[in-house]
Parts: sequence; structure tokens; C-alpha cells
Amino acid sequence: MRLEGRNVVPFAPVETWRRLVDPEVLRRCTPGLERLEVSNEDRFEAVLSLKLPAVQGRFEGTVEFVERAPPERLRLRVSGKGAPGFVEGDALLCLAAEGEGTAITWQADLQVGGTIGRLGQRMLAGVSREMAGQFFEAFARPAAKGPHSAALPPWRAFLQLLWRSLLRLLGTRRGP
Amino acid sequence: MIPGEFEYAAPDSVKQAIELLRTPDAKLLAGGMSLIPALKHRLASPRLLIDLARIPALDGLGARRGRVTIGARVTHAALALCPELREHPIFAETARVIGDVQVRNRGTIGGSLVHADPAADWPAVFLALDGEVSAVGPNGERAIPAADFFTGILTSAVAADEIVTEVRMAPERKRAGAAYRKLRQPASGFALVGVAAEVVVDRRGRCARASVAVTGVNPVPFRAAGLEARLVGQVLDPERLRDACRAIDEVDPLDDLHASADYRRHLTSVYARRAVRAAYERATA
Repeated sequence: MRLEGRNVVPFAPVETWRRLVDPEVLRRCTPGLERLEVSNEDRFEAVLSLKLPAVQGRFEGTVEFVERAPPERLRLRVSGKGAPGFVEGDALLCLAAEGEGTAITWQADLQVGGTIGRLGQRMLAGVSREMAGQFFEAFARPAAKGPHSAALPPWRAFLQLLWRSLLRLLGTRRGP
Repeated sequence: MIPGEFEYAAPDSVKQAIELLRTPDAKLLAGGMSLIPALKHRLASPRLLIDLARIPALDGLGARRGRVTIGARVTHAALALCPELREHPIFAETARVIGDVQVRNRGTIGGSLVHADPAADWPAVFLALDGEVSAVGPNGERAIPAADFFTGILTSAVAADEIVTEVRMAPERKRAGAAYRKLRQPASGFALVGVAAEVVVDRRGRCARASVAVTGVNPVPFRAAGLEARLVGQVLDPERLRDACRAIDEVDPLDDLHASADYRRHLTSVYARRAVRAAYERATA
């Protein structure tokens, strides 16, 4: 599954970059993130709980920064699994100054398997998109100084998105 | 394919059901056409299942003075056949194209709305006809209008401690018509695109008011407000209709293995045209 999006956040690229790789910011902004531990500078262990009214799921996995080119490009690899299935993938975040803020253009390629892969296809994109929206909204909110409201943590956002996607996949139930 | 363990209760009143719903991790069961598969795949593991099947108050169905009142547990099959709704063919024509026979016989309108599947059919009709639901909880009853109902993918404005008891819609009757058109995903019966439209015409046959709602395209069903505005004041001949439906601003399509975003965008224009056309023909008949 391929996902992409563009979010503008009210921070300069350098600040946006800093926040995107800040575990504290990720913890605060990622919906459903239960636990995020830093293994080393480039690697995090995470537990994500997805809870929608119709479906719930819990994923454990890792997020790894495989390419850092601050403050312009961040590539990361995500893998996780839980009772509902597994997710693996890569994401690329590109930062560019836009006005006084930063535009984060992102794309992710995900392989999803297990129950969510079989049953969640139909919901995956929608759930991922919604989680991304929540992430960026939270990202922009707390530290925003100006009148802007945006969010900025590109790779973290991606990570979160990926996790959420997985979770949402869980939510992929169907039936009227 | 075997659900986790859960307790089961089948209360015979809404009041009892609300009481039971205070249990942590309790889940309401209506027709079960989405919930039971989720249980079997263990995508949901509630501790308590509250079956609404024995609550007669949820089974009402009637139309009086243009006001259609549907109990939350009324099945799609019942709506397909209801003689009192004959004046409003949009209900039967929507109900008939949902899922398959088994789904129509078990699945309910209340369950479909609350589950808020992005490709379910009733949400489009509910939005286009400006419906509302009654939700009853510990603090009493409240009405939730359609415009506020769908808050996210698989998420509605109904709170975890509330039960939807009734769905109300008030289709226009004078010089008006409504229709639902969909492209079924062949395996599931879900809407790749589903469009509900209602059109009211003036004495000269021009569109006086239009409402158009789309399901299956965005993560959340939506009203196509821009298209609605473009239709007003027009005689809806095929050419004008085609132009009006060409670009629908609110479309932000899902992209999955069933249909690409571009294909869904295209289908939305096609099915919007068909639904508005059918509604307009009914209004001018």
C-alpha cells in the first residue's frame, strides 16, 4: 500500500526537523502510542494501541531512521506486528520552507499481512490518513507560537502513521 | 475464526441495555453483520455482548405526513419491502442493493449508521435526506443530526454509553424526488461509490433545491455542497447535469486495491449524475 500526503506546520525547517526526531514530541503526538523507547539515536521500540469503536488492536515494533539529511530529508523503516497481523515498510519525509513554516511532503510504502492484510485493505488508507491528520494536528498544536496551526514531525509523523495504519488495518472489519 | 470469550446478555428494554452498557468493554450487538466477523477474527474482543434483539421498542417502522421513522433494529430487508415507504422509493432501492440476502435479513439500519463503514449505503441516504437519530444514554435522550453524525472513519458521534433507538428522515413530498445509485464491489456488495440525491423542483421544472451525498469515496461520507449549489435554478437537462457533476470539490478519494483514487473520483461524477437525474425525473414525473 502506498500512502502520501503533504502537511504544513508552523515551524521553520530546522525546528521541524528537531521536533520530528524528538521522542517526547512523538509520544505526545502519536495517537494510540502506548510506549516509545529509544534504543539508540536511530532506532525506537514502540507499542501502539489502536482503538476504534468497531475494532481494537495492539502492535509492537520498531522504527528506524535509515537516512538523515537534516533539515531536508528523512527516510525511515517501520516494522511491527500484533495479533491482527504485521506491517513493514519505508517512508520518506521531505521538508521545505514554506512561508514562515515548513511543508512536509511524505510518502510511505507499506506491506501489510495477516488478518489486517486480508480483511483490512478496504480501511487501511482511510485509517492511515485519519491518523496522519491527528498526528500533524497535535504536532502543530502545543509548541505553536504564532497564529498558525500546523504540525511538523515528518518522520515521527510517518512512524505514527504507519503504526496507526497497522492498527486501523485491524479495524478493517466489514459487514453492514 | 473462533471469538475470544465474552459474556452475553439480551435485555428486553432500552433502559436495561443502558444499564448493562456501563460494564467496561461492553459492546452492543444489532444485526452483527460487521461485529460478528470482527469477533471471529479477534479484531474486537469485548467482555460483554449486549444483544438488542429482544427490545421491541427498536423495531418500529412507519411514515406519517412525510416523516419517516425507523427503529434502529429494523433490517434492510424490512425496509426493502415496507408498504408504508412506497411513496419514497429511495428506501427500498437502497435496501435492495445492500450486501447479500443474508446481510439484508440480519443487518440493521441503526447498526449500519453507527458502525460508520466508509462504504456503507445508508449513510448517503441519511445525509441527503437530512436525517437525525435519537441516542439514549444515562442522561436521557438526544437527537443527533446527520450533519454532525459521522466524525471519522468507523466513528460516529454516538457516545460509548449511548444506544441509537430511532432513525428519522423527512423526504420532501411536493414536486420532489429522491434516488440512490451505487456501483457495487462485486464480492462484498459494498459501495465503491454510492450517491443519494434529493431534488425539489419549482413550477417551471427548474431545480429549487438539491441535496447530494456520497459514500464509499472519502473515508467519511459527505454532502457535495458545491454541486448542490450548481444545480439550483437549472433545468437539469443531460448536458447541464454532466457539466455540474464534472468536478466535485469535496472528493478526496480513498485509494485501495478495489479502486484507485482516480477511478473513484471519476465514478463519483458518473454516479452523482445518475442519482441526480433519477431524483429529478421522480420530482418532475
